[in-house]
Amino acid sequence: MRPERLVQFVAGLLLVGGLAVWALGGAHYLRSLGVWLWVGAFAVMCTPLILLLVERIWTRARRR
Amino acid sequence: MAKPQTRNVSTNDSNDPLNYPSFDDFVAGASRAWSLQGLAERWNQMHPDEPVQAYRDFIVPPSNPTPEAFVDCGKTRVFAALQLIGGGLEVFVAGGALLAPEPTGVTKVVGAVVLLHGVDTLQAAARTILTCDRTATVTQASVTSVAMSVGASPASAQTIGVITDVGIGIGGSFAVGTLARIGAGSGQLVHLTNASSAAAIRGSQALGLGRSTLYAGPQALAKARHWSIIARTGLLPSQASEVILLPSRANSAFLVVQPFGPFSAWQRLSGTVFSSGTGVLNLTTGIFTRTGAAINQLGIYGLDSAIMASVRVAPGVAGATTAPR
Repeated sequence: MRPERLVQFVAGLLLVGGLAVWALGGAHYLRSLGVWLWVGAFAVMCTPLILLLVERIWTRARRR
Repeated sequence: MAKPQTRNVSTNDSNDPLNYPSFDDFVAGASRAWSLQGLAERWNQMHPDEPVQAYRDFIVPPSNPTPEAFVDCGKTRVFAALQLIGGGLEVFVAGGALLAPEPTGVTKVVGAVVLLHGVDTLQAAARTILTCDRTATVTQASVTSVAMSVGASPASAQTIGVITDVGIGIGGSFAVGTLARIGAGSGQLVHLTNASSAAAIRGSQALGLGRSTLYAGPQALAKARHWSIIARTGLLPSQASEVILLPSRANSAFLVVQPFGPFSAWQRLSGTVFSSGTGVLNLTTGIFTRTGAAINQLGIYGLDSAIMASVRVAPGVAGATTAPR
């Protein structure tokens, strides 16, 4: 599987998981778990962006 | 004030606050069945001279009048930072729409709405970060107020306000992204692929089978090696070992990615462009034959939008919880 697809797949799972936990958890601490699954999905989707920024910094440092 | 009880160390009841010198010891020694709030109530009954104040999983200073703000400050700021990112992306997308050449002006109107909403989101997020007090956007406050004035309950009005606010941000950005078709510019584009696909593409002089969206990037991608390829394209080096140069005339078939969230922002920063639909690109003539909608990219936009929406509504959801110890 392409790394970019893997990122989308994992983030999608976390997002849907968070939605399911939020919907089934009721007004309980499980809803908080759903929120953290959403934050996890956001973090996973940020990994390519972070990798790209690291790559740019690395490339510029090597040019110097 | 109630008279302090005498400590009785002779009983073996682990749930008796009088058997412990401090609240921390009581928490450590008492049965796990008790919630922190329950332990605090029992402790305060027996030790009115040394009261404690429990909130969710935390002990807060008894003098603090707003324990919620004390406990949730860090979390509030984290979510406000995510809101700030969302607002920034809205402003960026709207700015692109306002500057894009477009004959009808529809994009400009939607872009102006998204720009205003983005600025509203930015100011609310900045105020939340500075004050550590969750601040609603003007949009949310206005819609909540209108909903209450037409008879909605405070809770329902609040929900309507949040959904409208998030909906305008996400829906508006999505509309701008699909309406503002910003071309790929004049720089030479390349398509990276593996050896067997490259041979098939060169043999047929056609890129794509008409079933998926085509992706390309700037010519500088051809020099990328090892992990740089993953960082810039999301492909493994073995999946991007060959470079197909696209004719300049093909640039008009490709669109610039609009940043709806972190993943599309990565695509934008890496210079990724996508075909305006599924189809086949003739490498000799540069003509793109479209066969359908750009499903792959719309899927990425949808996932990014859903994630941004979920982290926007998250503070409201998290605030409605009752966590056990």
